[in-house]
Amino acid sequence: MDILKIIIWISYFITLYFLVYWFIFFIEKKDQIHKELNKKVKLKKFPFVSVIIPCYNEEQTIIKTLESAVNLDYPKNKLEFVVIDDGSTDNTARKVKNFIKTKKIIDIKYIYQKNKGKAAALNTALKSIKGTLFACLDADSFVDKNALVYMVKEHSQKKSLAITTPVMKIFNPKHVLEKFQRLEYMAGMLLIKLMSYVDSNYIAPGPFSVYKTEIIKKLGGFDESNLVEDQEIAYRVQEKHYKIKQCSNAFVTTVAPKNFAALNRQRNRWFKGSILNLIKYRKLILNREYGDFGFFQMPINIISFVLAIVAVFSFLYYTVKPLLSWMKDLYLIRFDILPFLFNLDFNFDIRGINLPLILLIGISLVISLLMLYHASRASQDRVRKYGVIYIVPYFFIYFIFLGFVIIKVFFELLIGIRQKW
Amino acid sequence: MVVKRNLSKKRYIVAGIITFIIFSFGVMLGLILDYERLDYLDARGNQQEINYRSLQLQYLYLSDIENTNESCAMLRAALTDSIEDLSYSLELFEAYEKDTTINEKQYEAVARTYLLDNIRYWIFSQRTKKVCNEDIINILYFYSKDYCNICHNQGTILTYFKAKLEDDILIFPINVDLTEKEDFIKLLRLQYNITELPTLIVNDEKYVGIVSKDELARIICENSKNKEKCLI
Repeated sequence: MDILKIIIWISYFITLYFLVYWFIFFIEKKDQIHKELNKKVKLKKFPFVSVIIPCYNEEQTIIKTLESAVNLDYPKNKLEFVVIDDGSTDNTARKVKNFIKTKKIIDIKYIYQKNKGKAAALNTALKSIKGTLFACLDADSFVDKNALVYMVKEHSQKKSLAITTPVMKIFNPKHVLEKFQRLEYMAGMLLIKLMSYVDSNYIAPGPFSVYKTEIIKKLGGFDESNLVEDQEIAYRVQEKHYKIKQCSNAFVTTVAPKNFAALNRQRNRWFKGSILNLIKYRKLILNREYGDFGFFQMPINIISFVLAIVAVFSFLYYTVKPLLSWMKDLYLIRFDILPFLFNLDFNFDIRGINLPLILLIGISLVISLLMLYHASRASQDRVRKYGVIYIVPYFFIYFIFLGFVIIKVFFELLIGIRQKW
Repeated sequence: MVVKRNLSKKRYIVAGIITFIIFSFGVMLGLILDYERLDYLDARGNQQEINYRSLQLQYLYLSDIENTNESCAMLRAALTDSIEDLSYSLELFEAYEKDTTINEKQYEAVARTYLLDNIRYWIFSQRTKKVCNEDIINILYFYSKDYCNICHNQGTILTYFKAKLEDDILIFPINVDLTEKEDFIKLLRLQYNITELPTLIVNDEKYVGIVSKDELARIICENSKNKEKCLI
């Protein structure tokens, strides 16, 4: 047995372990998830909420975002909206100002700052808001009108709860890549729900996470130098033992990258930021003080990167390499395949099938599909709605693409570190 | 702030046990499959052995009496069948060997058996060729899986000619990785002075390094009495 084979089998084992873990965890919480999903909520007290909408060159979506925000089902005198323009150079400013003119009764502020990044924009807004809670709504996302009530309810029930996160969906998935991301978000949202139960959330998504103003201010606001400030704040919240919960019935839709270049850019930033944050918060790793988060979630976050890299290399080794060799063979016989066609024999040999591998892949696939099905139900969506066929390339191609992005990120980080020295 | 955070040990352990059970089941399945494969290769080997004995007897009988074209053709047909069967066995063996985990010793024994089978068919074919005065090309092909990356390419070219010329060409692969285990290879390597891989012995003529499609076509043409084979 060579080293590669051993590495690959260990990776299979770990992958299967994670799948089994999430699956039994889901089975355990299934009823609770559905109960939460159908829960009707009535608020007695309405705390003041500030909705911060940071934007940078978002003329395409900003109006729709604003519309969704002002249509939130919440008393208007308990809401303020702060649009913070991070130095847009397109028509965003004009569009927002026009929008404000048409909605005179509602409290909307427009603040302009030089381009300093989203975290800086949020910090600027943070200085002037009145809300005991504040929401951050990315200008390419549209929030459901019931979402805020559900999230405020969660906040009012627990003092140490610092962030509630929504269930994200992809806005109008038409392009293939959007459909992949839709499936990815679906599965991801169910996992985050499960993480919620063991206080292991590590992301506060940009589209409509709701924060307790006091706690975030105490923690020092958002990290302006971080690539993924929404993850960094979550890690910081975890570090200080505050809580993050996903709110099962607060839905928000977001516009996803439509082409490979844009998706590559987005994921490059996410993965790079994630790695840097893991390094920054390394003292949490396997730290008993942090319970499930330190002992399980942090290691998972690291191991996933390793697994992705192994997946890419085994993909290259088991598909690309044979394919290249096959093409070379074709060239060597000058593409004269006729003799082979005349001599085809169809000796089917059942013993030649690698049953253990098929068993393993089969079980993994069944668990994944079951999870995906339940995830679609939890996000009140149907897998079939946008074409069931996309599941196949989603499992076999999309992840390889993400794996390549991760490898590139590692490469860039290594080069970057060298340059610094 | 002193906070006691939970660690859901039970869930991790249960997941571990389930994963372990699934994995063990897979490993067991692999072992059963491995033994099943070895048994099958064994059974094929026994069949081969009987075929060979039959061939030997036919040969003995023919070399004593005045041999006719008809009997030669019969012997040749039987020989070709056996060699084909052997090459299919070798194909199976190579597919199985890739997945094996623990039975490497047994597989090595099978590999050695096939190697010897190939050598004895080669000797047999050389002799029959003389006795029966046949227009047939015997190629002894030295290769290695461990130390020779380009051997695979030579293999493809040989397979191509086998598919094209069918029974007019016989290929006897010799895996030199087994040199340490099998003295016969040492003997052959010494006789033909094999130092580089791949090496082809076509009718006692040695060709070192990759022999391309065109070159091999020329060699086959030169070595054939029937010039129809030159048309490639």
